[in-house]
Amino acid sequence: MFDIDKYLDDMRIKEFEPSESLVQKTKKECEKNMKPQKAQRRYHKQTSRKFGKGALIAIPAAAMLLVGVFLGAFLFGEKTDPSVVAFYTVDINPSVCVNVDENEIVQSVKSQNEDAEALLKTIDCVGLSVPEAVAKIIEAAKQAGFLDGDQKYVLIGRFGEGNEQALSDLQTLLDTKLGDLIDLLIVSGSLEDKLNADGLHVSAGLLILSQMADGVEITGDDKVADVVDEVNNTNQEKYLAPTLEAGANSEGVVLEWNELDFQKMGYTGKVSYHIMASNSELGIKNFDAVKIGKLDFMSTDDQPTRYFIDVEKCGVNGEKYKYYGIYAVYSGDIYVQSNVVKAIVPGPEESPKPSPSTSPEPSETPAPEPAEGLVSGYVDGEFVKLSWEKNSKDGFTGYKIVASKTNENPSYPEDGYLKYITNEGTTSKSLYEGYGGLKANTYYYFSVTYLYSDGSKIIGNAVWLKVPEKEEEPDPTDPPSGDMVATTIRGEMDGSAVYVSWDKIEHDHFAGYKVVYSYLDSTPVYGESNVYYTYITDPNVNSKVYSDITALKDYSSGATCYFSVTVLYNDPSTKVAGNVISFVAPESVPYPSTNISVSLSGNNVATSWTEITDERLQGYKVVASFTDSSPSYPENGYATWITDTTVTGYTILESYIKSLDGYEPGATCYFAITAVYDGKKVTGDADSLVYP
Amino acid sequence: MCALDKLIEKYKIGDIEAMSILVETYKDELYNLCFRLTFNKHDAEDLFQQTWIKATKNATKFKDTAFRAWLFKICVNQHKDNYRQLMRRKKFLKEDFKTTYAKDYVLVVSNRGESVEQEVEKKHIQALLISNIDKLPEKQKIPVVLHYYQQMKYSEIANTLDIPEGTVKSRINAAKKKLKSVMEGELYV
Repeated sequence: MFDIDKYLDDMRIKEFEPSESLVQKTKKECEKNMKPQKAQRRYHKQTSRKFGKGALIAIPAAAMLLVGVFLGAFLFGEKTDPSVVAFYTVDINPSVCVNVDENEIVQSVKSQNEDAEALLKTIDCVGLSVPEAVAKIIEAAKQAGFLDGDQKYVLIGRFGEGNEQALSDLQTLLDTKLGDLIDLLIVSGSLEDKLNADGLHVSAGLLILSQMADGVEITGDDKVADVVDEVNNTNQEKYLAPTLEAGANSEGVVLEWNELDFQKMGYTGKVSYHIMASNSELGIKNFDAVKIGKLDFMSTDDQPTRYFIDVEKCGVNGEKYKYYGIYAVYSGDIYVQSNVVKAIVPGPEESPKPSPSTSPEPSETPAPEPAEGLVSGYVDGEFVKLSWEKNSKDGFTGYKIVASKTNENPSYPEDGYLKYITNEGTTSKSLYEGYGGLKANTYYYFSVTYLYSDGSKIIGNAVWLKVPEKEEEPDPTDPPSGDMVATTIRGEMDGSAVYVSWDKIEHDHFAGYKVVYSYLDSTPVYGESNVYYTYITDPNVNSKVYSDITALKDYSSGATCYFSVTVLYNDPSTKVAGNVISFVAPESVPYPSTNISVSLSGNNVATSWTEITDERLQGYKVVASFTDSSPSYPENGYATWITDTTVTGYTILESYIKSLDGYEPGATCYFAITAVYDGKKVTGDADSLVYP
Repeated sequence: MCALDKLIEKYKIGDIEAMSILVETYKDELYNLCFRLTFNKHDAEDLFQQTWIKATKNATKFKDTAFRAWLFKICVNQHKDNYRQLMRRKKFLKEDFKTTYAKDYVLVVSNRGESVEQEVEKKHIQALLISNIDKLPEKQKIPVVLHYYQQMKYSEIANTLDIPEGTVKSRINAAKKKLKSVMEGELYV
């Protein structure tokens, strides 16, 4: 097992100095670019024109932001072509202005920066409809590499007279066609806004975007990603996590939390609550925790405020987990942590073994602020894992990790030390048999002593843990019986499915097949960037089915997907890449969902839905929940699993309903159908009823 | 606001000497950040110069935050821009950052009781780790570089990248999982 923390914590990179000539040259360049403040053309937000705020970063196309349309009077006669009645701006970063007539037909296209000038030389949009022209511009930008890497924002603005429906139609079309490729932002404004922006030499779309947060300024050099970042940064403190409380009884742990005011936060869209568990408080705080549940909901829907963790999941006497927290995830990429709570399911009997406290007393209130000296630990496989609170006091010089078999409160220097850590940010350490002389199957008191430059120290609490035995090393095997050879892959395509097979490897030191694919690397080998793999350790398994290659990472319509098999060998560790085969990916076909209808049938619940005829469908999961208004499989379990895809109804028995978390007479129960495809699950709209 | 931060205020009203002092003050720290983001002398020098020029152009945007943090933020954003352009120009032909090359930049920290052989092995593994960090997606790589190479706190990284602290932790955690898996694949299989 590779101890990633150990190597990262010890990582030091040599220091270098810039050459004197570089420094002098830089100073001269700065001097050249120096302008008095008043000479800069700037735009500062007009507080009188305010649109909805927040929720901008990583907005999926499905949750696009449509800012209120303001169709101002056409007061300024700057246009040169009398047929032009409106302008569309497209910012990717090439910034383009598309001028359209009353029928939304493109009359001319103008570049608004250098990148756009080059781009427009390659395409002609005059005479096209707006959706055609915009799609063409986006495609050209993609071909030119502007939508690679992290940059996926496409900002479209409409300015001027015309119908509101045009923008809405454009939004729908782009969402359908390019939803996976881009993060679309839509804004709109008046012709006056457009002329204002022209006068300031900035994109009108970016100008409106900048108005979504107080005090965001833009210049002609700013790119759409810069402005989105700045708007989000200004609004970011608005993202909140709930305050968590916990309780435990013999059946499990109950977590409860408050509702959040998303409207006040300015957030509209999907929210996910990841329910996290760990054996240490720091595990939750440092994202080194296990996700044991996930609650997805829309910010406008009813919010979940409770989660029950069955004793089988959390363990008795804290054997599995003691600490819990919630990560509130906004827009799929913004994580905000709740407080950490401790909850332990009591066992049938008191634990007979006396041991020092391994962590603070159980508390159902929010966790205390970090405090020096708070040490926790647990055994994981062959490791003892210690963690401690990060130092926050001045004059810190290091942490000494100490251990003693007999001293219940070991400290440095009295008990020596196992490890000296001078990096203040390092707050965990894995120990194992043999480390500093630690013996297997022996209990030690472990602690951390914090040292300070003035000679003072803080002695942490001790945790009493048994050092496990090292896992046995595999017996040395005979030398290889032959050359470590590559295998040959073959394959065929059927619709969007690809079937690959390869020659079996018979070798004493065979370790596994890494079946790899890549849309970005034409010679994919396991371990390289942009290459994804499936690991098969059975030498007799020599085929694999990709049921839909449009669902694979980095897919884009018409792109070529490359497949290969890298064979891994042991002793010596060797990887041997094989031949490559490729297929051109077809257009992606969306996965349909189906909506449920429910009604009471006595104390049972009758459900029905519309049949899905998609061939890729494997079956339906019928889902019910009292606590989640948008239930789905697997988050909420399921009442039944139906593999006959022509079935369109099912009666959920009273006994199942009453076994659900949150059941009580008169409570509202929510139902949904999750359509299960190979590698994909799609849940339809929920229906609900008040259960008697 | 410290005295150094006030220098930029002086610069904003046209004091060329003020910017010169700022460049001298932060040149080493910034250059090392540039180098660790690129691991290429020429790219680091470009990034160094671009950062200062951008800081010059955007001097009026500097408000009451610490200048160092503001400068680092510009540097990281510029690096992201450069990376995007690199992707556009070279279409993913970026040369792999080789382990042998990475060894030149590893500074092995000796621990008590480690033999010379163990130190050599450690250096090899750390070089391999550095080359794999370089292959991470930029979203994950940058927080890792700032935290482990630059020893920056989560809160400082959050401020530099304009993302919540929780997001920093989640990206670093995801990066660690990926690195662990790749390293185990390369070392133990």
